[in-house]
Amino acid sequence: MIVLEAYVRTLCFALAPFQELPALAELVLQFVAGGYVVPTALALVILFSWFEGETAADRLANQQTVLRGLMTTLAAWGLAALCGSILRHALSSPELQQTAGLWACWQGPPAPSAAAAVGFALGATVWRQDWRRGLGIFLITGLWAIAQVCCGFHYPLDVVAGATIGTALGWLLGAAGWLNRPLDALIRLARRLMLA
Amino acid sequence: MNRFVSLLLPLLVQGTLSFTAFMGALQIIASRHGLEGLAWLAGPQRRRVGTLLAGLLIGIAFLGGLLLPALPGAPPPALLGATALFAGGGLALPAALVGASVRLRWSERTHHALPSPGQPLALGPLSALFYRPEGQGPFPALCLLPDPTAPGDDLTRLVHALTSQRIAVLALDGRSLGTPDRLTLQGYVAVGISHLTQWPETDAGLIGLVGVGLGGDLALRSAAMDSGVTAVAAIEPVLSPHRPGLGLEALHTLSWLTARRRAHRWHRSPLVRELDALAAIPRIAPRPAAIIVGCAEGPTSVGSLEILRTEEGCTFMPATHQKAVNRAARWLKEHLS
Repeated sequence: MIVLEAYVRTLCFALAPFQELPALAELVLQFVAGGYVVPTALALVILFSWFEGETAADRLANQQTVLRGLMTTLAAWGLAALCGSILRHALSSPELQQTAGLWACWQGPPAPSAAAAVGFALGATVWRQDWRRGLGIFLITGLWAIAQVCCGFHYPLDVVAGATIGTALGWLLGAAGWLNRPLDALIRLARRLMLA
Repeated sequence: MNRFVSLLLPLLVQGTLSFTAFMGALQIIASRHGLEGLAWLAGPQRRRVGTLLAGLLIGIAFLGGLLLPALPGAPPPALLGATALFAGGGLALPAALVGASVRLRWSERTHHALPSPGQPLALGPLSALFYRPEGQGPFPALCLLPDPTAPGDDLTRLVHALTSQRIAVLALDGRSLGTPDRLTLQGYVAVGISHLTQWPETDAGLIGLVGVGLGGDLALRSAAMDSGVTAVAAIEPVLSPHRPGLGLEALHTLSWLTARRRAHRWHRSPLVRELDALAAIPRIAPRPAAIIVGCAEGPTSVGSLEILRTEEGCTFMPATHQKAVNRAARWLKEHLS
């Protein structure tokens, strides 16, 4: 109970500087925290990466990374959602809800941030091939996750948990050699369709 | 009803904005990588205009996102939001490909080609065009073989480059060939060469062959069999069934639909299963033979075969790049005089 309370209270510290923001800043914060601008930007980065490459071999390596990144992203999203539902189920007792309802900044049971998991999984996968692009994705995702905390969508430690899940999964699947064959088959299919 | 609208409206707006952003991104990619078949807004030649307009579209798409929090029912659930994003992106790709096809078709229509100065000839079932250079003969002459799997290709640049080097050209008309087998095609080539040797203004001792794409294989094989051929050149010849350029590279010059049609014809062509130019090349020596390829690195000769490398080229649509065409014309002039 103490751990959970400390977990929830971190949100109060995070929210404190963002009380009574000007309307425009509030709008920008909502804009960044929402599910449109950062996912679209990440999708565009992925799209650009698919076509990048000085030589055919470079392009093939980029395309493998893109497919690997998409797969890792889906896996990270699924894992974050699974962890979230397990936590919700574990913390659903009426007594706990009643007690927690009295805490300041209580926003519901904690759950790893899917946004952080997805973005960090993609960033970690891309980092293995091109650290600059990977760093860019980490920064964009970091901004997104911070904005979500500032808007009260997540506890700060949800973001940390999501980022840990995403990075670990991205690093793990990024190194998985057994994925090469199915990914190559997908690229061959795309090549037959003149898209790779 | 209201609930349905409040769920659907933000999704529709988000999908439309994603679609706009992806369309802009695809145009920038097309401009950056010179992909005609993906450039729906402006061709890669007008790179700045294309990039500027596309950047504007992406800017509008991102700024439009400011509207989303104000919509009823926003933000949509994450899964539905991701679906809207992928639906927008997924629709943008076919839309850009179709848009580029329409743009290319339109520019073909509006670009009025000059009437061909070639003289039509009927050589039995085969029709051909004969191009005579300006001035007094006798001229060296050559027989031009188009790619049998791409009979509609415009070879005007190649013909012009050759005639400007004072070489007479007999261009076999790919469209009249139908889908003949290899032996029939080689028979047509022999008829063409025989016709050139009998033409009063050509020099019967200086008859060459030039083939394009799959026609390159036929040219090299015909030269190996016919000792009357003085020199042979093949532009981006296809020497093995694993043809390079059957991917994204095809969109450098072709629309996606045309590229797909070509690839389909290529995969179905029985000629592909009979490729054998590599075995024929040693039999051409000591007569000069060359291939012109668009890849910059690699050896410059293999045995008696010269490999002429140009900075640009298209394995899938040969004879469209001026540098490759000029290189071929210069080499043929050098060896047919």
